[in-house]
Amino acid sequence: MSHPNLETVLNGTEPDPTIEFCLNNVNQEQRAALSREDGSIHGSACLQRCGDCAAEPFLVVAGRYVTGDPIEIVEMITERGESG
Amino acid sequence: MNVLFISIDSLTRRYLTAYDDAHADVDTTNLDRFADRALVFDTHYAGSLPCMPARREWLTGTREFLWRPWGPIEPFDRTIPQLAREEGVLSQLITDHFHYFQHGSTGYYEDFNGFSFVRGHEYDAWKTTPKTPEPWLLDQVIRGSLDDVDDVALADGTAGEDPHDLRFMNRAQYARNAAHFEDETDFFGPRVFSETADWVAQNDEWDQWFCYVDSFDVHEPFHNPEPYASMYTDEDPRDPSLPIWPYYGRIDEGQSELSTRELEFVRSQFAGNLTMVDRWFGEVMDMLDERELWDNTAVIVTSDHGFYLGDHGWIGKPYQAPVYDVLARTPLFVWHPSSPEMGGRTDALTSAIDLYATILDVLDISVDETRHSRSLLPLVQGETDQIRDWALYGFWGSSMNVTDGRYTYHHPCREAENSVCYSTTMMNPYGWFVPDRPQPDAESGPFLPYTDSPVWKYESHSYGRHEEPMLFDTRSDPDQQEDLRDRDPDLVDEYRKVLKTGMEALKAPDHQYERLGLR
Repeated sequence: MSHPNLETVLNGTEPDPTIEFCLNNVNQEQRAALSREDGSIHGSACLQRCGDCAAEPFLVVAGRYVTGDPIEIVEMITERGESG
Repeated sequence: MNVLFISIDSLTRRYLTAYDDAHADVDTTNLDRFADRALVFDTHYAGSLPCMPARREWLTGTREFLWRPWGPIEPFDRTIPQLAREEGVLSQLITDHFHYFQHGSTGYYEDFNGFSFVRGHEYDAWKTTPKTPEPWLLDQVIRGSLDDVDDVALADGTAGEDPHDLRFMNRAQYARNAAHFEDETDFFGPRVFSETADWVAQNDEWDQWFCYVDSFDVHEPFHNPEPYASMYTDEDPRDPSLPIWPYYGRIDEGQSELSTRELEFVRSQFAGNLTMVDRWFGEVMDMLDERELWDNTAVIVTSDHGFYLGDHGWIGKPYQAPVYDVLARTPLFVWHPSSPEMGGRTDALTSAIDLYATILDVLDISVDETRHSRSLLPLVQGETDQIRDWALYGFWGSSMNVTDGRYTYHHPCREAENSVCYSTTMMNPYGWFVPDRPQPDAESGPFLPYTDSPVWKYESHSYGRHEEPMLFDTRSDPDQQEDLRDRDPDLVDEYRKVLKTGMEALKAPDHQYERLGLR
């Protein structure tokens, strides 16, 4: 899966950016997986993006909206951090 | 007796000199003037949070957050305007609080004899032009904290920040709604309160009325005309890099992160908005003077909640944050012409929900039961100095909070234990502003302790705000900086019992005890 705006968002950010997810936008399995990650990943009951949230999976990475499977995005960010 | 009820949304009480000198530089002349003539409530707490849950408390006397979140009026609710109609009391709603007219909350305005909806605040689905609003305002409302504010849409397709995206809750809506604003009288507080002053002046032929005024200001976005925009800052208020609509959350990370400069600007615009509201609230006071209506009108001024402006490291009213007093301890002033307590103060513990029974009492409308609400009229009349021993408050699905007026106790929830939503509708437990979704696993039955009506029952997730209990002595520590949990575990146990007492008195559903680990 491609994440067209992820590279744009990550350019110029720290290697370990703050990642936010909406609890209403993930299933229980994804929530559990994200909750096992380190302290820079935060779940919220609402990220004030209800229109987006109802339409597609997303994360907020370094303060920016990124669409796509949240687990895949986190893995990509983790790999980027490890390789960088 | 008429009743004029005024809510000023997000009115953080430490900004009022009636409560605190911390922001004495912020001009609130008219609210101070009203506080001087009214009874000031020093220990008033919100109940169900945030906006619409507070309104269901005021209008129906239901402490809803034990059973459901933000949602509609239920068929078994008896709203004040509904009861007023039956007793021949005219009712009027004046508001720019667009949530009444949005997905997630039906049934709130329909019972009033008249309603005036001042259009355009926040996400109100009002204007569709200009398709591309002015860049400076667009930048301030969409992502004022970005370094690359000229690249709002991120040309590579960040739909959530594209002003032309037609999905719900696009912040560009506000920039379109406000695009034609030219002077102060175009803005929301001025329109709501000038309509209120006019309504009060024009309706004196009716025998008795209940006027319910719900100002969305001083809720964000903190968009102000001059002189208010520059009143408390030296910044250029139209600087597109400065935010007027911060996302909720930590001020030190994520989408809600604010620099010191940005936070100071947000605070200045909140203060400017408050002064603007105060100036137009004064028009209503002046009209009551001019028409000599004080002798037959009770006036209640309050708010639904406060707003973190960097307090405890938070901005807004985030779902991750503990419910400190900045949010939960709200202002309340009551004027009643026959009360001997006017011009005084009371430290009696009171709760938002008590305004339901109070308004009915002042209107002399008798009802068989007022559900979870207790009239404050005996307190206002000086006939008692105590109404309640405890008050519960919080958001559905999260931690549970209780106060006895001195200590606040905050009990965490177990995130692994789901919450349960009870409603006659299949409302969204989260994401209230988008169309409801079916709840295929819902059961039905008479699950509520205060009605025989069957309702749907379905689960959704819980979310934590803190992992451990917290206890604060608000008398010695009004800013709630010193958690007493470790120092005084016996006191923590005592307040855990107070919480259980409150939940048992309200007949809280069984799942709450499991979810909160209170078995």
